[in-house]
Amino acid sequence: MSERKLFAHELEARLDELLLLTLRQRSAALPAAQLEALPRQQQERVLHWVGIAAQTSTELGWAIAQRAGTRAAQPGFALDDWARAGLEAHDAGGLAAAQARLDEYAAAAPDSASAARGVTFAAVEGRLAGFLHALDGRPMQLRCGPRTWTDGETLWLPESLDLAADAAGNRRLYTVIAALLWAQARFGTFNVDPEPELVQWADRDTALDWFSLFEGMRLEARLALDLPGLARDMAALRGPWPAELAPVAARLARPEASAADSLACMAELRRVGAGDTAHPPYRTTLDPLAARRLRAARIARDAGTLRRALNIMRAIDPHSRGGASDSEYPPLAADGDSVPAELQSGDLQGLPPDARAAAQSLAQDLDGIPPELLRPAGPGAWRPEDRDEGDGAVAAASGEPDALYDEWDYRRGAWRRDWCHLYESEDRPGNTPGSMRCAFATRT
Amino acid sequence: MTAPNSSARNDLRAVATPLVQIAKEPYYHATGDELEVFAAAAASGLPVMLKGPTGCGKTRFVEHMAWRLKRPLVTVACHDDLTTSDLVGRYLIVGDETVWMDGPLTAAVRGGAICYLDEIVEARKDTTVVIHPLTDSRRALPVEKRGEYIEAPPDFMLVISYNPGYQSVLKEMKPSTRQRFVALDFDYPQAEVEAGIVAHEGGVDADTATKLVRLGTLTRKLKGAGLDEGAGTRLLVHAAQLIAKGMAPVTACTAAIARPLADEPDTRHALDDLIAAVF
Repeated sequence: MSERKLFAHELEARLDELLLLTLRQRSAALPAAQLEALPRQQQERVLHWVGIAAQTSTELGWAIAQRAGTRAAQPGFALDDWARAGLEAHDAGGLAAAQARLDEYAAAAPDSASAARGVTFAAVEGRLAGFLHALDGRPMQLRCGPRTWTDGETLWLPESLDLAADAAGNRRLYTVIAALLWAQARFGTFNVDPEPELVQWADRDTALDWFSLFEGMRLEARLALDLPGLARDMAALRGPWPAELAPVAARLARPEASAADSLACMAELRRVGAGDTAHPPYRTTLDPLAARRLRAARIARDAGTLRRALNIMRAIDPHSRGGASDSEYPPLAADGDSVPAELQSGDLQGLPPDARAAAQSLAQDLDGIPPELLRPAGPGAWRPEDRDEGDGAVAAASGEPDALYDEWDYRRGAWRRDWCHLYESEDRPGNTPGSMRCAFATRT
Repeated sequence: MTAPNSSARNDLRAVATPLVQIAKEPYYHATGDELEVFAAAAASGLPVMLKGPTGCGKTRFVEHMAWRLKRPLVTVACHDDLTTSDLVGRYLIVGDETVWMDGPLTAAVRGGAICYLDEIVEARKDTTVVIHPLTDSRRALPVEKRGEYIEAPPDFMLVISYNPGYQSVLKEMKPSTRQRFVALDFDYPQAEVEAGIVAHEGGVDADTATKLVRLGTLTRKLKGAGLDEGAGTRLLVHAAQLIAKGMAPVTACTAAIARPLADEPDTRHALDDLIAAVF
């Protein structure tokens, strides 16, 4: 079944066909207009029950069609139970009883005022998917679930929302929450490791609440640069920050602020003693462990995709010194001259679509594409002389290592090929633990 | 056949193709070497093909070049009912007489004008074949119905445009046609340049223009995900013009951008959300 919602005129035609309305001088325009707002699955469900009822009585089918549009839009409304109740009432007491039962059932729904203003995830999923698709960054999946959070690839949103005064407000709230979760993935909430800070808090949940709040402050300011209308909605929903948090909000609103600044604010708060967090209506939760686990796997996958694409591009490039190679993916050259110039300058348009997506995803996860992904160190392996400047003061290794291993670079959050160099040395009589420590120091 | 009387001459004037000489410089912001390439093609008598998404400035570019080269411009919006007679000309009954009426292509050839066939792939394939003799070394237009063979003057230039993005396979341009043209690729300008265009053409301030361009950029990412094309510069200028007339930005963008782009409810709502987010 197509996911596309049916337009009002299509619904009208389907209802007309089921209920023979044209022959009865009736128009399904109004019910069709009400049903148009529903997701396709619910539209089909309503049409299903209208059809079943019409087999018994077209009037009963009409009664369901007239009421279903407004009822089915209510969050948590049990459409199937409602329709069955109407059918049973018709079997027992005729059309009038069925109509009364359909009306009563709806009226008896718990907190009908709340239901009327509430909005379900199903009702906004399509528009949110389009909204998020238009934004920058990695494509995000949408799901509904008990927790409002993201792992960096999927956004989990509430099944329904009824916090705002009307349905439009709740739809806006959905948009704000989705945008905030998207911003967490887009603007680096998971690019720093919060564990060193989190473990110093007595209560991890409280710590995560504060981290979420501070990141919300930072991301709201970041969103205001490109999407000021959305940031205005966020500010209106939360109201002014409490006076004691206003300086922190201002500090995190600086353009150069990052997730590390949020962690720094947490550390300061921990030292002076943290109370409970304020909770804006668009509150989200964080699960950094899950997000960073996924991030690490994604970085390894994307790096592989990008490098394969670059190798293939070079293999088929007749001007490349490497040319076609015996191996499936020839090694990248030691120097950078065979890396496409446009990639060195950051322009990814020359890449095939999957590699371009991988490169953009890497840039999002690592705040840029690490040079060694575009220009590897030596014939397929890292060499000690390629050591990053930030590797610290270590002695240069001499001689060829006895073994090479891929190793995890914790700073980068990614695997590096042959990064670990293993040197074997014989433990001669007379060697002391101190001399072993010295050898270790010179080799690392 | 006799010369038409004065009443018939008035009727003919009403349907004749005007050769418009553009007096005032049409605003155009060059984004590459398109001005030089077009001018060189014009000097060499070569036809030009403009490729690019809708609303990115192809038509404006041709208007600008017609002004710059001081040549009349004849524009034909092609459609799938466009016949050879529509382009070349036909006999008309005027009063009690039958008279020949040049079509826009013939009029442009005779007048040494630039003939711009907009969205050429929309026209029937047999129609496009009529331009072939004009696009090779012959540079001539055979008018079969009159048994006439019109050699194009040096100032005549043929320009076609099409949008490779959303044309169907059935409407692909034939290689025998496309390999006759010097081609220029068009795309939406860089954001800063596009904002300048929107501000200039729409009469809005730089901040509003920047927001409109940001919105346009967002909608272009929905290409293939609900939209056949994102908002072109032309739509952004339309929205800017409404805003300049005092309309609220959200209302203006909804009317000038969101509604023309989409009918599907979810896509329309997504566009509404983007507009609200940007403004």
